[in-house]
Amino acid sequence: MEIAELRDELEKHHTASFGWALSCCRRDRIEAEEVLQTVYLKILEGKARFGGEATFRTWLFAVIRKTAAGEHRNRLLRKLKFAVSPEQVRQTGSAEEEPANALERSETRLRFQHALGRLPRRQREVLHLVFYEDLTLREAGEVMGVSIGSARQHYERGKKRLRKYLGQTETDYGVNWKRTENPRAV
Amino acid sequence: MELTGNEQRIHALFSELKLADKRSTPGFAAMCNPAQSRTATRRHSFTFSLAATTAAAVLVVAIFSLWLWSARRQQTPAIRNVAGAPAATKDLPSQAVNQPQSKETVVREQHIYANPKPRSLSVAARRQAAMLASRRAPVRDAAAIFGWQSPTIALLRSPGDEVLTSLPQINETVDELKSFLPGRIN
Repeated sequence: MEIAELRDELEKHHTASFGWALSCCRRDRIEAEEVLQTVYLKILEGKARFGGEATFRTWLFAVIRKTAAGEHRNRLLRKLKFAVSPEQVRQTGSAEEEPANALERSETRLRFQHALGRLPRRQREVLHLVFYEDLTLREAGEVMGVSIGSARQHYERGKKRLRKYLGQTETDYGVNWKRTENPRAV
Repeated sequence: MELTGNEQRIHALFSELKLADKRSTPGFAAMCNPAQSRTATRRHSFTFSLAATTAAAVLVVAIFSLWLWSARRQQTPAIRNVAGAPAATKDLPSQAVNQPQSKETVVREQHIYANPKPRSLSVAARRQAAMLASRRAPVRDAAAIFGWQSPTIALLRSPGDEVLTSLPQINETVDELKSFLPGRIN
């Protein structure tokens, strides 16, 4: 695939990629932007090559997920090694502030986001891929590097836990979460 | 995948989140161009580092060559001293110095030692100097033997030494020759 073609493909999936990067970076906007830039760099430099085994979107999401994990690990190591500089403190502060600013108009969204943040990583990822990115469980499994059975388990557990968290928060806010389980689902 | 009531609710929440993310997603060009400029910067820095490495290597080689040259330069006077030993024998009697040295050898020797550029003293020239030095070794030995004096020679000296060691000369006057006649008291 040539660079121009790659650019077109990346542009086509840019919004979805950013959403996925946000999810992988625990809704940290700055970190998500950095991760996405790194991913674009990797792809345009040819360090990450699309082999055609999966769809471009699935492959791109897998690259974003791996890059985000790597960046997160590096950040943790940096935090362990060095004291946090004032600039970093400012950046972290702004990153925490931004989602609040963006979501202050929607209390529901804020609560949902909070509940989502409490989920284990894999469960959060599979829910995001299925509901946000409209991927199938098989594709979600490919992105996460797990089998479809494992992806389904994470999906089911994630749904259950999310419902629980949302129920808790909505009870806290005085709203009841109606549980209507369909046993034939998925 | 058919969505149940709960799933629909989750999907709706995710859709809302997606919509919010879409509004705040940075443009593709804003993400991709910095990535490409980062690539260019990296390439530039790589080129710069390559140039710096080359310059450092050249500098190291130059310093080493200078050191080698100065070491050889220090060795050159030593060769001169060894090769130019007969020059010290110029105070010796002329018989000792006038050893069988061909004219060509002397000229060549003068050429070598009169050369003001020690750098031009190539390997061949150094070999030639060593050869000349080895040829001159017997001359030096002969001169040393000739110049040897017994430490007790002073004891053998007497006031009549001049008369005993001198011979009458052809161009001497009659009065002077008379001094050699027997029975004459000076």
